Amino acid sequence: MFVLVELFGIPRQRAGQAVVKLEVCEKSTCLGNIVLQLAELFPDLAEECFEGQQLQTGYVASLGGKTFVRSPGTKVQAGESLLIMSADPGG
Amino acid sequence: MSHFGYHGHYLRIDLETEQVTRVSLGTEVLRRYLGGSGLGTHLLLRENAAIHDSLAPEAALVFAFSPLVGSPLTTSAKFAVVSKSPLTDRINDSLASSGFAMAGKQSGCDALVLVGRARQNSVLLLDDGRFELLPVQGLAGQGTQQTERMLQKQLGNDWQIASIGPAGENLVRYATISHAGRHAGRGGAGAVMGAKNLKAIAVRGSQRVTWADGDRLNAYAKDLALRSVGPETAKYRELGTASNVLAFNRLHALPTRNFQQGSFAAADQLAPETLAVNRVTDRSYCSACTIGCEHRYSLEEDPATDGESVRLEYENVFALGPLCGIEDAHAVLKASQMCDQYGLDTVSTGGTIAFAMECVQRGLLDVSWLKFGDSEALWRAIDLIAERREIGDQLAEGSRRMAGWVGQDSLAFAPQVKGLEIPGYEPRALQTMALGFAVGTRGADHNRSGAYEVDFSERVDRRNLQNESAALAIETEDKAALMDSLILCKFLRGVFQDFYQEAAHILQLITGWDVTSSELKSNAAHIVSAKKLFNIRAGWHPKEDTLPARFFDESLDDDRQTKISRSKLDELIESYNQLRGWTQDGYLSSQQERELECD
Repeated sequence: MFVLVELFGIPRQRAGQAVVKLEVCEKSTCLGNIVLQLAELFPDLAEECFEGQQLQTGYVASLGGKTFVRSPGTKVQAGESLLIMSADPGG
Repeated sequence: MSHFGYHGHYLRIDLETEQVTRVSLGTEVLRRYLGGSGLGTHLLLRENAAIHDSLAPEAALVFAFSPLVGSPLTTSAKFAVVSKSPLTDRINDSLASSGFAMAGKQSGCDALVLVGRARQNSVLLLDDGRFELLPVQGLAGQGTQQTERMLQKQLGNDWQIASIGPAGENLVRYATISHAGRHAGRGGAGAVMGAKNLKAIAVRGSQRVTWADGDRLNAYAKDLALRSVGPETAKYRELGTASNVLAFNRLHALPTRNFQQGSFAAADQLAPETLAVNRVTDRSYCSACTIGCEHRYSLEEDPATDGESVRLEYENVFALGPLCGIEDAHAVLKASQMCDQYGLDTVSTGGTIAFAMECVQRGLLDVSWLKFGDSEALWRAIDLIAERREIGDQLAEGSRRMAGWVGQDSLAFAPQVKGLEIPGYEPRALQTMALGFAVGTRGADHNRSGAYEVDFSERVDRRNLQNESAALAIETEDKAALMDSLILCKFLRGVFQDFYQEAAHILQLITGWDVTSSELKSNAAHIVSAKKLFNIRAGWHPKEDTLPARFFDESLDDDRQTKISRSKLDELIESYNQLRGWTQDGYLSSQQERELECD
């Protein structure tokens, strides 16, 4: 089972890729666990965008492109996509 | 009376009589309205500008500086241009950046108020407070950057120039005033300037203001400069605003084909991540800015070609790209360059052209070449708008007036609020922003309302309006009003832990006033009410605070769950009005009107 992480903007720059397929052992995991897994894979991403299990203030996650979430305890279902992007959509 | 941070007066110039009056600004007014957008609004109210046609000689055009201009604070080199908009007939405050702000303030005033109409097409010179009108020689019809180059060659490089292009000269209702490649873009200030027979304003001066606590201001400025290049501004520094393209596309928030869809199949081709692969890129900064958000791309893909580069922002990309169905990056870059040279607001240009494209698609308009996705059609339309030729004469009026001319219920899909074309935030996908658009005094505006920040948070469900949305929209509006009056760039906003507290501290260091954060919160709300008063005097009616019918009647093709509830929006507009202390309909209370009239 896996969660598909889609990265946009600076997170994508730091990770060097747009999409990351993360294996999960259970039917669901939580945002904090996903952040920790990503941090291990992409240290530059972690340095810029994460603080422990949390997203840094300037970044936000979206479940399937629908709702925005930040809390590390947010449940993410296996098979779901999780987007990570800037929380400042100024244009 | 002497002030720290200010000269303590503005210059009122009658362009017909060439009379210049120096008018004092008291501490009470300055402390209430600060500068920029706030001061400009106050001066327009003083001029009773709301009752005049925006293009009439009596119309007032205000250039307002601020107490922060000339200080060591990053992003402080900004000025506001405030007038009645020829596009909306409501208040229009647009901001631009760089040397003109500093030179304008150094010419010896806190603002310029221009009334009347020059007897011939002219350039206004303000040389350390001395005023002169010069006839335009060889400048008529020149593009904005060409005008600036020619004038600097004639006058000297120590002059700073704000100019209009052919669009402003031809009174296109969304013409810009431009300076150093930046634009007081939205709402048509360029047409107001053109109607005054002013091709350009050239300023220089040596009159600097002083600061109440220069040493501590310098120390604070150094700290702010360091913070300004931290993670909160990485997006702007490394990718620019155009990095919104792919994220918005994924969220179905990227307005496409005149807001028929929220995503665009070719979005990848227009994203900075792709553009940077095949094109030479460059980055530039406004004066006194540490962020450097301006990203330029070569017009041609071949890096060996020593060609032109074009500055690209998200609003240019969306409006001249997906909104018109254009997939080709070169086409969007060239269209953007054309708009810059002609002096056209890219959002209103793209929005009006996209509207016309849909009219053609529906068989309501007999201009068969004007089709979605046709690059040549886009460029041809831009040429015709700037020159007001053929269908360009109607396009130059903006989508709302054009819908009136087309008829056949086309207003339902004219992408505007109060006549101002909607920027690149699909209202059905970002519904707090939708509320911000509906109630905004300038019209559909993502700069005076930052409600998209709320949508991009866990505080609301972005696809459904909630009761909390009204208060949250007010928070972002008030913050924007304060930033636009101080003036500081909104790209700094993520840097501040407590913005009002830091703003109070900044003003204490600059002016010596014992300003508090609660005073500034009150001032911000007062400034928004002042703009509302202007609109009421200009004839505003509650029915203007809404969205085009499309957003209520149609969900997005690519996200069927999204539609805006008309009744919920109306309910939240009432809530917004009441939270502002206005009547349920949106009129000011008698006490608020009295306070504003006493200012």
